[in-house]
Amino acid sequence: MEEALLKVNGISKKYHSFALNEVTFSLEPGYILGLTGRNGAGKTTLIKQLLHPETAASGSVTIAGIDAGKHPVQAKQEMGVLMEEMPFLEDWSLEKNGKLLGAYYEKFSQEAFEKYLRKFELGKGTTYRNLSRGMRMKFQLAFALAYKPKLLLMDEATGGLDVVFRKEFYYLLQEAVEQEMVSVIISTHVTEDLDKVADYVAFMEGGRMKFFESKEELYEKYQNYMRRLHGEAAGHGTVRLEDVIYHYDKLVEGKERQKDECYKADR
Amino acid sequence: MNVIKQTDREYKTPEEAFDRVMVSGGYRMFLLVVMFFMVGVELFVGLMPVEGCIGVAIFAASLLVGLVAGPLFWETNANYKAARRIRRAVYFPIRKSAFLLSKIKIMGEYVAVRWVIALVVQLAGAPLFGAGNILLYQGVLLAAAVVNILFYCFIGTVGAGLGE
Repeated sequence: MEEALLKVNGISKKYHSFALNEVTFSLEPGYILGLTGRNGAGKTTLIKQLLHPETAASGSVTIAGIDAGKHPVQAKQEMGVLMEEMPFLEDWSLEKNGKLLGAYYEKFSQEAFEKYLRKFELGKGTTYRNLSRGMRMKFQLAFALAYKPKLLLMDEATGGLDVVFRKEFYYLLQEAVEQEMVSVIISTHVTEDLDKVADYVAFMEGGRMKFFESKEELYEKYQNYMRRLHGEAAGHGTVRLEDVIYHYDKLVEGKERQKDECYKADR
Repeated sequence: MNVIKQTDREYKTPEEAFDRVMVSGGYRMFLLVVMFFMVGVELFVGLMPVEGCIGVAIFAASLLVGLVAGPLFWETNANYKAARRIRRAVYFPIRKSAFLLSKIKIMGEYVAVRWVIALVVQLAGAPLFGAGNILLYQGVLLAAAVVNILFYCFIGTVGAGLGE
């Protein structure tokens, strides 16, 4: 098995009325992890702790072998971020934003940045302020890809955007994943998007990671569950993550019940 | 040496560029306007022609008002915007020292200019109101300046924003 690009070990964070509890998972290079859960479940908190784990109450984050808590500047060189609150300079053009803020990244290429801007149909002379929300996300993606990060973190990057845009955006993202071998964590509550692009799915609830599994395994569990309930034919329909998540406790319960039945049969 | 060009200016390091750009000239200008206003209120009260203990008490009260109200007023506007921008910039691989330097610069500029304005107005008003309390006032103002910087850079909203 390939060595994990990202290793998160027991990350915890406490606020007054919320706590992130010992989240642990890992992600190999070139895979897309969909991070989902209800509003307030801890998705954004987790994403922020991946960026600066030195502020976590406990735990560690390692990216490409770099301990992000001890070497945050080095670790961030390998991370690209797409979120609404990125501090790009609103009154500057995209080109100037790239020149100034790209200088923080050792591997940033202005040439590559402008190539991605052209590919995403963004004018380099356009002021950041004049971009729509969707175009800002494309810009952030172009900026991030220009310094070849090993991990992209997207926090509700496509929330509120129309279906057509999301389809186009995820197509560009998948292309980038394949070409640049970058891993991606997409935090979103739009599970339809994860149905299309995610390799792994993690579900956050009440500040803890309820499950982390491959999408295919989740689908298989759900189909087995439907077969048990409604017969063989029911196990062949289209599976949606929304339904998998809704019935997850029963999927797991069903598996445990099977184990119990096998145990009883053996005895 | 990584050189970033911005129109006619070159920054030697990304941190220097950050320091200049992340808190823009607009915020600093707003700061100055607020400072003029707050120092004016402070000194008007502080320089009222009342002698002795009552005079000192009035100075102290006006200083307290300036100490709390001035930065708070500033903080709810320019500082909030500046702090928010610095807070969000943690997503970039910028050294923490760059953040701290920027916060110290913001607060230091505010306090230093406030102090200079206070001194100038005091000296200008001394013939009218008497010079007796100027030294005391300046001593307290210096102490207040140090407290301001320490509080807002390391403990207050701007300090708490770092790393979040």
